[in-house]
Amino acid sequence: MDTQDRPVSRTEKTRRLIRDLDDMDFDVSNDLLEGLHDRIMSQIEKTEIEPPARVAKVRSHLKSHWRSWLYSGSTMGMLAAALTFGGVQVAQWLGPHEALANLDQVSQELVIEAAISPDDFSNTILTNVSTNDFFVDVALQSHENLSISEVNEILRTQ
Amino acid sequence: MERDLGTTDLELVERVKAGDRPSYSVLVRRHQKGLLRLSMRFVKDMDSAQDIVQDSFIKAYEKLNSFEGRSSFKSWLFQIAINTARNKLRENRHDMTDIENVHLAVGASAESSLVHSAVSEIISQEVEKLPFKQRTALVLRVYEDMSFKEIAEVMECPYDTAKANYRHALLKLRQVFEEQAELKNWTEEVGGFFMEVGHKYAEAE
Repeated sequence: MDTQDRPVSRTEKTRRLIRDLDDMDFDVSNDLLEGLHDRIMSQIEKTEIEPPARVAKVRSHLKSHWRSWLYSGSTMGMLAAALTFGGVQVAQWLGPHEALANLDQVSQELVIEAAISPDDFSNTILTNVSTNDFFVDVALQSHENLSISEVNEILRTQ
Repeated sequence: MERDLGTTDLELVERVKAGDRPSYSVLVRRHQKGLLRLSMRFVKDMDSAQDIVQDSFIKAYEKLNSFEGRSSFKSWLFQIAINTARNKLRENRHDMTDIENVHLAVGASAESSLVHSAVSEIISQEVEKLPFKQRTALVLRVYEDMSFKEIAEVMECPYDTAKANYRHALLKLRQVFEEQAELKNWTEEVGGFFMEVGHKYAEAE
């Protein structure tokens, strides 16, 4: 809608009415303004600008001296965080793959070992002897001279 | 001094902060008339208005380091002047010049001028009765033609609050127009005139 066709709101009418009723005579002479200016400036000559408040000072200092460092520092920090997070993600992704690769290598070694000396392989590797059994064997061999009841006593205390 | 015509307020403020006191003279010359006019809206007396302007410029100078340039220098000065005017009104509540004398001093030989002056006087009195914030919003909007954004800066309040203060003030004055017979007759007389010139002032609100 063209501004010329826009209906004038009551609020706007009131505003114009008040403005039109403005009778304030404000023809100030240049002399008055010059005098006012001179009075102000003579006071200003005797006045000092107050030092900035501590908080404002710190903020201003940060703004003027450290802003560039803050920006670059925060950028570097974000980059480091991104790299760390990304590194963890990559490691988590690579972990299972690395284990699979190791498994392949171990199984190959086992096959070679079995092919070279099948007896050793079956005695040393393909065994279901547990650590406990091993200690029992050692105990039995170390205490051949012990009686059965003494051996049983030792075994009970284990 | 002419070399300073193109210099912005912010540049001058920075110079003054750096110790160039004469640059403040340029700022005073640039804003003293507007500040005087604004002060007159509150105190209705030239001597008091000049005191307000002087005090405002001195306060502004002292506190120049707290001016960060987030609003315009003019808005900041207006803010200081309005606070100074409010303090002066509180101090001299009973000593103010009678507003009737100010308005009756306007030469009014013709009958229409007399009516105009009388209505103007009623409106001035009603504006004075408004709460200070509403009055400030009204003065800045109607007489200083400030945007609501600028008014909000001067009054240090949200945009919507500035607008609400202005609207409340205007609604109260409209009520006065409608309630007082003298005003009602006059506004009906000039109603045609306002409709006619309305197009010239049309603006989006």
